[in-house]
Amino acid sequence: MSLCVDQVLHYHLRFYQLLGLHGLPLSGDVYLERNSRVLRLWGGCLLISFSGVALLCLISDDAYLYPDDGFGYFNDAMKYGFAELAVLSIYVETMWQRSHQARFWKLYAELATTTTPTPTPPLGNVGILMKRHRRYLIAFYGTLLTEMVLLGMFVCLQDITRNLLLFWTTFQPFVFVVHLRNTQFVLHLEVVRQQIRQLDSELALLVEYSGFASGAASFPGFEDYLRRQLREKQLIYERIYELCFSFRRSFSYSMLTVLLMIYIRIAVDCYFMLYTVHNNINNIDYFLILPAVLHVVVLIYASQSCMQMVPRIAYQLHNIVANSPALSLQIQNFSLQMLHEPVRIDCLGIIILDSHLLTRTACAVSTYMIYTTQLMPKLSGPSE
Amino acid sequence: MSQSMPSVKPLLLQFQQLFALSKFVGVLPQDLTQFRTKNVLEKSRNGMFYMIGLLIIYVVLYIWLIIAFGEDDPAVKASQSTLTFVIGLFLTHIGLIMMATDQITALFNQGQLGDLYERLRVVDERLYREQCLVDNSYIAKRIRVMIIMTVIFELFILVSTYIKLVDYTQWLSLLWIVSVVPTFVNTLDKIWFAVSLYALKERFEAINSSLEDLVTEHEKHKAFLARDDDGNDTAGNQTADSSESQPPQYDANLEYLYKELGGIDIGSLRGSGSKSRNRVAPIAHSLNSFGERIPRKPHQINPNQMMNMAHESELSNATKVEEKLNNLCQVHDEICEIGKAMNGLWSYPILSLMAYGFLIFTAQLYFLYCATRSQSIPPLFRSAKDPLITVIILVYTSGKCIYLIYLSWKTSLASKRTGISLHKCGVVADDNLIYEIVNHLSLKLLNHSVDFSACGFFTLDMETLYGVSGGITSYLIILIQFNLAAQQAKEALQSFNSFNETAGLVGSATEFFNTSSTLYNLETTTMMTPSNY
Repeated sequence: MSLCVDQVLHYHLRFYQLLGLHGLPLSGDVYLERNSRVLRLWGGCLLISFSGVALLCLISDDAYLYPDDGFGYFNDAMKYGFAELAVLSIYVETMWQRSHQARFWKLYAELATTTTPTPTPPLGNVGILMKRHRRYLIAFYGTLLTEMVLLGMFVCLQDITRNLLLFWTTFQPFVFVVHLRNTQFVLHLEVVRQQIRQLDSELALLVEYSGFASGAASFPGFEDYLRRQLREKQLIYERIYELCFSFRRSFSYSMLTVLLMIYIRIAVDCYFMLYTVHNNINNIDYFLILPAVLHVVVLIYASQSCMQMVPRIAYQLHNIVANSPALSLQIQNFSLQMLHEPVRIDCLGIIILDSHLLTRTACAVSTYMIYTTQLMPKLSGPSE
Repeated sequence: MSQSMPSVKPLLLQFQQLFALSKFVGVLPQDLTQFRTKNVLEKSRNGMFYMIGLLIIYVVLYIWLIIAFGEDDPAVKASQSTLTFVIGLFLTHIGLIMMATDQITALFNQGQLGDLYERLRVVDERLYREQCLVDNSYIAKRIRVMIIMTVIFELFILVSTYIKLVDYTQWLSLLWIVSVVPTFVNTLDKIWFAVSLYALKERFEAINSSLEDLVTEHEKHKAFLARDDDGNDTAGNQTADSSESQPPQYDANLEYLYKELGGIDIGSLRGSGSKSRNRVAPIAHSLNSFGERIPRKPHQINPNQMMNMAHESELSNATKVEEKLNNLCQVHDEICEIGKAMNGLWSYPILSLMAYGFLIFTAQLYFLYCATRSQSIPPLFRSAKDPLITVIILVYTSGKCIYLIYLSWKTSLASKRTGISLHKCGVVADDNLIYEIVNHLSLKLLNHSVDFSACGFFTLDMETLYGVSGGITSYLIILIQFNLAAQQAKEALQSFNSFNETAGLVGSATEFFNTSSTLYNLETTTMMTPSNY
């Protein structure tokens, strides 16, 4: 069950392991069985402590939640509720969906040995690895850095009241876990995308050869060679589909709840922003939603770029010049296979992670903003 | 055929308890003795009259309940806001509408429902002949669990509401028991649908797993052959060995391709033996002498020769496989057709259930809000006064709707999975004849997928949930806003009245300013009221 991955992935997966987000032992680990048990236990401990914090905040009389009016209190409670839901699904998934995760990394290892020209780059050649995973690295460190900077700014600029202190010290850990989980999705999606891209470039090579062979010079056995190559590609595509499938199976619940939590948080904090600006309250914590927005965009960009590659593969496939009936039959078969196995990244089938989701989310948030802005004076009216 | 007949047990055998209960409650009109003895659903005139009678009794009792509890407290009605009153008036009857839809649809469908299960039995027999075994024994357990859960939920809601929120000193309060009838009847009807749908899903999965079995069997077979060949190679065939480990000389034309794509080829050469041999060998084979190799080798090398050979793996025998794949796809088509027919039979009940779920979910939450603000709510929704009962009701209603949606979605996915498994077969077999069959059947499967919908208004898949939950939230916020507005208007009116009264008292004491002061007060309050909004 141990994973064989390159260094960049190894270190990042180790980091996720420390946070209890990744439940599988890595390749260097000695006691596999014991390690996975310890990881599960660690996940369970983290889950219990997070749940305890959430419960404390929800039932305590202290000013964890917004104290001034009922609607604000309800909104804050909702944030905690959905954060708890997200954390619950994250850790439960890490503990119980390990077979799908293991399958994901097994398929990845198989694909890496068959497709990548240099399966294991020499040690110390971090440059190549960095280049290969640059999208993920930018997403990971970019969002992390933004969050840190904004948090630092918040601490420096804001006069911390008791409510703000209690709220942010308890809520920020949830935010961190959820956001790191989000980068974990991006990591997996990026791995899938790399495989699809590799397949695409190999098909492009085949297209070039077939064009050359039909136009300039052909030789006996070429058609058959092409056909066999195509069959290999079909097998690879099938594995990529399975890769995507096991990704969906292992992360669907937490993807849904993470997005839901971020969405709720954005909607609620947008309301608070209007509220504080409207009432001239000295509180600037609303700009901390910026990292949350960034995370949604990063995730959707990753999944969108993954899904967009598949039509390109079909396009490349049909560009292959087929002169023999056997080859054309193979191409047909591959094409049909792609119709049956579309790479589609969704959370339990409820939402598909594409740009359309971004539009819908923006629409929904602005609609709710209009509603809540209407509610605002009515609810805060009597206290003014 | 004759030997398969007794071994395929009809699906309806598992429905014994459910049918008896449904018959008793009046969900299905079919004949009970026929079902007991022959496990078939047959039309029954007596059953029809019994069911119509029950329907009328239920409707009368329910209307009596509405009237009895509606007249409970006329003061409550007066104090309700118009919005709450209108919503309550409409929603008290929706349970009744849902139950009537279920029962009337069941009456109309009583002939067709039997046919459906008969078709399913034929499908089972055909699957049995293809060695796809479907295990029905889980279904009886599933039914039992569902019935038990329904009873627990209904009883909890009934008893807790009765004890906490109904005035049980009057004998008329016993009528409250009738309030569970619509939901109970509806749930029983939906259990039929859900379990039948689950059975369809099992059949799709059986087809898929039998296709997957073909693939794994063939892979094992190939691995076995490869090991066999390795043994032969080490025994002393030096030429074959060299042709496998490196590109042979006559391949000079292709050498640049190997270099370009070298990583892949060499990688797979070192990987699984069977694939690499398959790739390099055909040319070597066509150039080498044909008959000198062991008889297995030619088929292994040249895929076009495959059908001449007899093997353990079914996928090596194209004609046999053609028959099997054709049969499986026909069965798949038939199951899709049954699914569509089933969806047709239950389309109106499902539509009414979804409408009920949406409305009740929104209304219950809205009334919960009203209750927390200590406003009066319609008497039939008194369960909203208690948050725990509300949560249970919401879980029960939404669980019913979501489970049906989830199951439809899963069944649809399972039917689509067949195409994927079919392609796996094709690619693993790597035979031109099989490719032709697979392409043909794959197109057929693409054109023939099963999607469930409620009368065509919306599809029953998970994406619908997104829309529905968005709708519920929006409506809830709008309702709360209206409620707030109405409440504030009422408060303003009350304060105006009390203000008026005090002004009147003051006015009577000082008659001099009487008219002018009242007018002045009227003016100020009406002017000030809008500024509160």
